[in-house]
Amino acid sequence: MFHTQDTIVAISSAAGPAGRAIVRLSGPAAIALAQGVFFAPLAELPGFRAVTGVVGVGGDWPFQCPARLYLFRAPRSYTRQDVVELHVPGEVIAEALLRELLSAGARQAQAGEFTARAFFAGRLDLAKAQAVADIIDAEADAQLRSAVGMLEGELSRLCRAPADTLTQALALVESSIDFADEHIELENPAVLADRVAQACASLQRVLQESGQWVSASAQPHVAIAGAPNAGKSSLLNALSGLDRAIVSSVAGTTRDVLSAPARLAADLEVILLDAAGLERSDDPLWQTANRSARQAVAAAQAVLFVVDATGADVLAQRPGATAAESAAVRESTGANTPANAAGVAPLMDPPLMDGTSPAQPLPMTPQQLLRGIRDLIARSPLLVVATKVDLLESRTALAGLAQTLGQEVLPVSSITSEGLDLLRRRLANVLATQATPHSGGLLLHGRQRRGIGQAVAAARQACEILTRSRTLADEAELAAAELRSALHHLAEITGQVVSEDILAAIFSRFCIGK
Amino acid sequence: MLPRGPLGRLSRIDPKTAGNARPTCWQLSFCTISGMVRTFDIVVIGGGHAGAAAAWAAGRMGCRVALVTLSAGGIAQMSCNPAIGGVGKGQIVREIDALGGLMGLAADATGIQFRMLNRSKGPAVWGPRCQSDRHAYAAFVQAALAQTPNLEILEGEATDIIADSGHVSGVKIIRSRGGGAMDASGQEELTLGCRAVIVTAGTFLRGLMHCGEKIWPGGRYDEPAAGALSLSLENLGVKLSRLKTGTCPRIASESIDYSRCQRQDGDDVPLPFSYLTERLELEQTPCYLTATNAEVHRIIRENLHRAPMFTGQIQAAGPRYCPSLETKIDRFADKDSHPIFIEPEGRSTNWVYLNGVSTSLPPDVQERIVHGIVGLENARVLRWGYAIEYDFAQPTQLHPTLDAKAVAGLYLAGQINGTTGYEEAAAQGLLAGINAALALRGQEGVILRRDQGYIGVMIDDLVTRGVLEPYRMFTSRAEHRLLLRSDNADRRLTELGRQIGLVDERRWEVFSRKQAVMQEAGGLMSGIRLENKTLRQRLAQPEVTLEALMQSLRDLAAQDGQAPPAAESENQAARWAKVQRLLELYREQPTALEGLAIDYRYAGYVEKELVEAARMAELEAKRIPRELDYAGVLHLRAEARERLSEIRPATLAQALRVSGVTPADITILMIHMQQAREGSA
Repeated sequence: MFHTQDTIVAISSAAGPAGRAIVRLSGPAAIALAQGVFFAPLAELPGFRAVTGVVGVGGDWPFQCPARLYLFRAPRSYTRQDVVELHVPGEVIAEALLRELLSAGARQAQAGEFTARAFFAGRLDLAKAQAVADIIDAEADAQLRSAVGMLEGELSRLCRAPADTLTQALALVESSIDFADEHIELENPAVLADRVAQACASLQRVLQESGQWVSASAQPHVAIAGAPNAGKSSLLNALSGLDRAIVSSVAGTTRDVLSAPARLAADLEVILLDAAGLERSDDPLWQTANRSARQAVAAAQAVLFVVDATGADVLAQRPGATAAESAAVRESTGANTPANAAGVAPLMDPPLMDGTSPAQPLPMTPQQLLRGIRDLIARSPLLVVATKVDLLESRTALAGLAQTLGQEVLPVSSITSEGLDLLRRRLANVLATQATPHSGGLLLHGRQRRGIGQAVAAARQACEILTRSRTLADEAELAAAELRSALHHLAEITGQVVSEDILAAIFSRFCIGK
Repeated sequence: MLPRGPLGRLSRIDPKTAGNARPTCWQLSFCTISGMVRTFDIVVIGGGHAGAAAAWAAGRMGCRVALVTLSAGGIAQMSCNPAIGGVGKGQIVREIDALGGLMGLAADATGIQFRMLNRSKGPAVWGPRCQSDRHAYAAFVQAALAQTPNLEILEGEATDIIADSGHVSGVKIIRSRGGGAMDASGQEELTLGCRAVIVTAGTFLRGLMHCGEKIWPGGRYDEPAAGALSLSLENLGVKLSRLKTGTCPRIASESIDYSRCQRQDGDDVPLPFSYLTERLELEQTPCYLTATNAEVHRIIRENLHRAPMFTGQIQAAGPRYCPSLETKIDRFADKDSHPIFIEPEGRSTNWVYLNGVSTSLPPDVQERIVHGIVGLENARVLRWGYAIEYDFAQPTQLHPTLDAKAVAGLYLAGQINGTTGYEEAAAQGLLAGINAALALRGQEGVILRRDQGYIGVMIDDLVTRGVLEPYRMFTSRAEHRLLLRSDNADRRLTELGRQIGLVDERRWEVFSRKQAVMQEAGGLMSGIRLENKTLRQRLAQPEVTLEALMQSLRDLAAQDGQAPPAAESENQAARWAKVQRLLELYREQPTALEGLAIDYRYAGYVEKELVEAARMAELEAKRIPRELDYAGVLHLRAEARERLSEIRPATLAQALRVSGVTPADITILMIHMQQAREGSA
């Protein structure tokens, strides 16, 4: 991550069923790379703009789907480099895009790397630098923890045998190179190719039989649902305690906070998920988002249903508010204005280039939404949270709301922190009564899945080279390059060091040395 | 820490009370006539391959250099097998040559048989190797050193390195006064004032030789060990440990029945090491191949109780890749035969080296082993094989510029750094000489990157990871093997050598001409099409060879005749001219075109490696302040802090290669460094 001049890419939302996923690029090739997957010309597009269009990839699983692209041109971006964000419905599509962008030459960003680039670009002052290190520290720690967890688990065990086979194969090829004048007896390349092919097949099976890893930990998931602009993401930020000064003082920095860890008590950390998109069931752009959001809510151990307190009186009194009125409410709270997008609230959309407003969601009343959510969650507890109470002149409307919804309403303000502690306690209480979920089978992170995939691809190349060789000598250096590459991809998963392993394998197997 | 041999323990005893210890400086200070002092810029201690390379480089870079050696006649001696190069090692020799070093020229001038190893594989892994006339080789290097400007060779033993406030300031040597044998009365002490010291002591530091039950202190066969210098290094804060190596018996050529051995000839067209050697003209000498057998193995097994490797007499670690014959037979019990290479030590000597019979068994057993081998039934042994344990300094105590962290101005190179091999030693000596000279000029030292050369890989491995056994180069140690080829060492390093001032006019001219030809030929190969593909595209296919392609061009040209085709088509005329020109370039500079062809063959792989290398280069350029206090870096994990404090890497890239350090640690380090910079600004 200490390289700052190449182009990095990552799915900015944490793994998990969030409403939409963001693929973010930063670096000199960001725009060119994005253009490769986005079907609308970007060259003329000025910075700080968004366009709606279609993303697509070819290859094994070709698809096209609607997406929105945000463009920030250097130096007016978080990292002072060209930054592109592709907002797409759902993790699956984001993963496919990521694969495509990686194979086109982008590099997978590491934990905290976008923030680190912002720091090195001078975007963050000294006082904040330490906080940046904190974040990197914490994220890397979490990665390490999960890596260690995986090491002890299935994945490492499953990869070990094929990795050993590849190591042995490489040792043979390497000894044919390094000990050419040692008169050691070498295998027939066809036999070796066979063994490498078996390793490929084992790895392929690991991929086929494993599922998509959903979360880095066994922490309970809490979905935050509600109407657009009800204050979901502000609440998520407030609860997770992410330093707003760091994360959102520059536009385009906090969109990755679609999920975030939050500590409710000394011994209880949860993953908060922003289930945006739940209300947009009829908009084709958001259908997938809607599906993902529904999944997020369904899988959550608890749901926070967020209602904007400043609209509470209107909503409470007139359940069937019209679309125009809904829009008016949003207008009055300052959503979707450039200032808002650039400065304060995360997850707000910058203005579209063509000046039209984003697709209008079909209005749903809180009651309708709430009913829909209750259908989804069946047994999981749900808390109603009224946000922005700092803007209220009186609290009487909240009582009405509680009555309308038939449930207690917890008043909070993400600005003044009012009510947050109470909310944390309540949430901790309801979670305490829930059993932790247990996932069966082996789940892989996208990173691990890609690593194995790349290892298989390289090993197949090696296989091809060995198959066409008459002797092990023929193209030994190329076979070695591919086997080495395969092992390096596996090493990122299993944490084994390649070079010393090879020498050890050679020396234990052959009597080398004059 | 490896266990010490008896001599190591002995040296720790107070020298004043130990009767059989070497005289100390303290004792000498009143028995010498005067505190004679001479001043140099650099003192090189040791005249092996590392010392010779260091002295050659530093002298040519304008430093006044003293090379201190026990015996001037022993400079550049091949103590082990009479050969230079091999896979990995041969590439190192090319790199030394590209930088303006001596080894390639010496090997070309004194080789008696040349082979390109791995010829059947891709050119990325070709390794030039030659059998050398060991006496001619040493004489060549000695003559070259005699002509090296600013260099003086002093015979004597360096006993003490003097340091003032953390920086070396001189070396004390003792030498015989009248050229007689060295004893207390006939010796004088000399102090050499200097600003840098390069120690290339080989196996001499507290060297302890083993041959069967016999143990004696010595640096090499028939040569004394050096004990005082070990103490001096330890006093300076350099920690010493022990390693082991060994060598094979030498036998008399006339006593070998070559008719019972398999003859092994050199290449039909011998290829040189040096980029300056256009072609080699020599009569090549054959080597011979024989093998051990069940009877020999039985003899060894029956005598393992007399093998120092097995009785506990030798405790230090030896190289896994160069095991003694007794170790091979023990570890690979299922093999009933091991190959033995019979290598002549020169044209004018009857000494022959028995490569493959490294052993420290007692002489009577060695004799039975030798006589049990086919072709050697009546062989006369001229010198027994032996093992030697010696002091080395774990190289993680060095900066990547090969100077010690413990004291400024002290450079270590060669076997003292835990390596083995003439090529590895010479490469370190060359870099130590270069860096010492640059430091005296006030310039930043040269650190070769891992994608720049095997020398870079080696030094980085040494100073970042340290060694558990004598370190030898293997191409599999390099992650950028397809970039580090023997054909392109000049393209990788000659410009650097020129900047440093080691590449002379002639070498620079040869290099520039080759570069120009490559550029022109590259343009032509991209322009000329043959059956719908450019020559460049054709060469990207592994099965297409340059020679075959050039032959088809010649055929084409022959069809067209000697004159350009009548101006029936302008295109055709232009193409004719291009083909003619390319063939002309190929005649003039075949190696330049071969280099291009190799580039094209590996294009896809090389591109990938270059991207990786470029990413790393960014980090390589980020230097970590030498005095950085890792304890003050918040957020650094304890393990990373501990490892980094120990290794104190020079760059962020090196830091990343320290075992136990993660990318996140590096970022935290970067943030800390930037904070420190901004804080002080």
